[in-house]
Amino acid sequence: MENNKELFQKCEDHFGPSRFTECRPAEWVLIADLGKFQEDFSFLKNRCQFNLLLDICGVDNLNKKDGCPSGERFEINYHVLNLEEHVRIRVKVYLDDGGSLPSITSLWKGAEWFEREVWDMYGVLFNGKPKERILTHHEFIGHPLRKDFDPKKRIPLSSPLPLAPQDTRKLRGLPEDGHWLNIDPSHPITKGALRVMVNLQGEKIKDVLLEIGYLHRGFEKLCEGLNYNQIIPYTDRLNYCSAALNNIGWCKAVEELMEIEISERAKALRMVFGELARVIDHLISLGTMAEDLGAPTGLWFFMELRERISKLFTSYCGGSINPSLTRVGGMSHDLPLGWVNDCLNTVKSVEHSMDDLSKMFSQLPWWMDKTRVCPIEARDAIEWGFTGPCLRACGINYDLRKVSPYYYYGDVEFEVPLGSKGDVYDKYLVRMEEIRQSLKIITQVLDYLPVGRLNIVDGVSLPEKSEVYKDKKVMDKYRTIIKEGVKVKPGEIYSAIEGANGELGFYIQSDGGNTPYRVKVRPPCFPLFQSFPEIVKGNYLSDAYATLVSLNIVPGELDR
Amino acid sequence: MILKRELYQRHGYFKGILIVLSLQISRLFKLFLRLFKKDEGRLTNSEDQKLSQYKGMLALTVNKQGEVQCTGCGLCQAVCPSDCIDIQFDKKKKGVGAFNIDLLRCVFCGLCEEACPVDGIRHTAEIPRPGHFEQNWNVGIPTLAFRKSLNDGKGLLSEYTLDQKDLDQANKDFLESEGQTNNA
Repeated sequence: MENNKELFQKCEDHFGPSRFTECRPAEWVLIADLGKFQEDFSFLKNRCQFNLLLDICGVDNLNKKDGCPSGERFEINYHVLNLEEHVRIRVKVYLDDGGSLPSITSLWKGAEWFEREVWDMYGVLFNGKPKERILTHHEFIGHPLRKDFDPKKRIPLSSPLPLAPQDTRKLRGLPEDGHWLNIDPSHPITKGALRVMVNLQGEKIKDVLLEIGYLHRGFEKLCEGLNYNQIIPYTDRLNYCSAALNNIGWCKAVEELMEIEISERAKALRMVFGELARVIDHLISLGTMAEDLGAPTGLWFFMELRERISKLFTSYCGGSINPSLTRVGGMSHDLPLGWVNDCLNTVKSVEHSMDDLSKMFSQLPWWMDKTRVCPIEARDAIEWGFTGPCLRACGINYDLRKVSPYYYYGDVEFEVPLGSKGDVYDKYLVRMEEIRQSLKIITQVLDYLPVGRLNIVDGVSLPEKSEVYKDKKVMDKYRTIIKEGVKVKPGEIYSAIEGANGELGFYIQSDGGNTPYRVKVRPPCFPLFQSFPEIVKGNYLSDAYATLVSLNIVPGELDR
Repeated sequence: MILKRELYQRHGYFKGILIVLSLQISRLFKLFLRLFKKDEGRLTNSEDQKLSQYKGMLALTVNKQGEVQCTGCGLCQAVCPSDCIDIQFDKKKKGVGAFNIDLLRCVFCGLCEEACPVDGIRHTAEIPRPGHFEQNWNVGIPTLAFRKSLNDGKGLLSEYTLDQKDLDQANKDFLESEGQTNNA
């Protein structure tokens, strides 16, 4: 905390109190100057150790009631994280339609895709030039997240992107010789649809081109028309392997923006379901890794465990893949009778099976031959913006549950497993150990599960159904909450939780109504997948497969 | 937490084969034993709740007279995130006239069930399959309330008993929402 103040003072002295303020504890805001843009960022990165670029997010101020302070149309927010002090800074910059921003790819390699996304969605130029499109297709016209874009407009694609297109090759200086191979959108190693094009010389990879956006459903545009509780079923579809964590992340962000405190029981239940979802995500990731590296039976062993945990979700809320189990202000309903007992039994049996599974893979010569490939240096991982198991596999001890604990993560005992080289084997080991730690957390929370009412926030959470049926006054209250939805006061927030793949952040801007003005998801996969070409360059094709599955790319969250 | 050093030490090929073989054989043996245990892998306590919580095909409940419970207040229509419910209010009857659900739009989230103040709509354990509705995915009251799988066409009985006040409230709600759409 003391250091935190020192850092704040240092920044305040440099930028001046008119530009630099504290929005919330550990969330600072800097209004950047377009003239000294690069210098501001290099000061933050090199002198203040703000070294992990989390997200770049645009906002269109066209429909805003009070508009922008200085009348500009666009507002671009850069979120940067200090890994030592665990402070996030939001660098705001305002610019007009047709304006241009200096690119910061020289400071952070990982900024490239985020800048492409801002150009794609808002039409903001970088270094005076348009960038390539990323989430929409290459024949798309217009910028979909602008407020004056008509979402009903259809822009069909006449022909798909050819295999390693000439102009892209020229633009990036890619080799002309060698053999281009297409790993298509429906390849078995992917968990959804994404396209990888590799240039091979013999069996070695010389270059890689990526194309994403096949699962782009316009989640962020959709959110602008829905109220806060209606968005929850859609967050399920972000990372469909661990949907409960997305629900929790979204509700936590909204609750922090509204400054409401949920009940102790709801916090504990969210921890339990979050950890169960993390276990499921890791199991799927490890299972597919085993399958793709030539051990198809491994998949069934992992999937069998996943099935056991899915049953817990089904018996709680009726859906194993899309549970939508949280609500703003609490959970959808209380636990069914006997659920805790079932959960403890399942946790015990999964723990037991994990020991067998780890014997079946760890240390075995054929598994190590295939996985001790494609190491990542810790410095590179930070440059790219890695978070989660992939960052920890590189040896960086950074887990949001440990460093800035939310809910009761400060009170439970667990450890953060670390790798050393950041290769595929390290990622495998880290995930295996994280499953054990998650199960440990679940047993601890269930041992001390707080009692009492679940949804207690007045005016936000719905009254119990049994009370609604009995009392007409409660029913009137119930009707108003449902009809008007949750009202959120004007403001903005970036709130993050430790998702299964890394830091899952939600940036919400509200203008006081019952629908958000702008929502931006910070998907952990986005920076991970961006680094893929650099990691696999110079390695064999089979190593590329191993890397792709170990990064655990989920297109639902990548494309939004 | 630094991982154990042994995890990075490679077994020999022969040892590796022995470990995996012994594990596989013991697994096979356990699987064989499981044939004789019926409860293995089932949740013993909360299994019954599973069916009542299951988010499957939607159903409208009926009251004791065998009519549809729904009052037509339109709360589920307002709360539906995918806009799949379409309710037409019958002004003469002061009740629901038509209730249609576009099943291809429905995301089975359960918000409508939660929003209904009179226990009029529920998710059942039935899973909608491609052949169910003869390509007619926009289903109305006959399918939603009186299909064969619900008590042999009699429908599910609602837990809540309606009174006049609920009907008046529904009428008021409907007029309000109509006023809003007219203004818009």
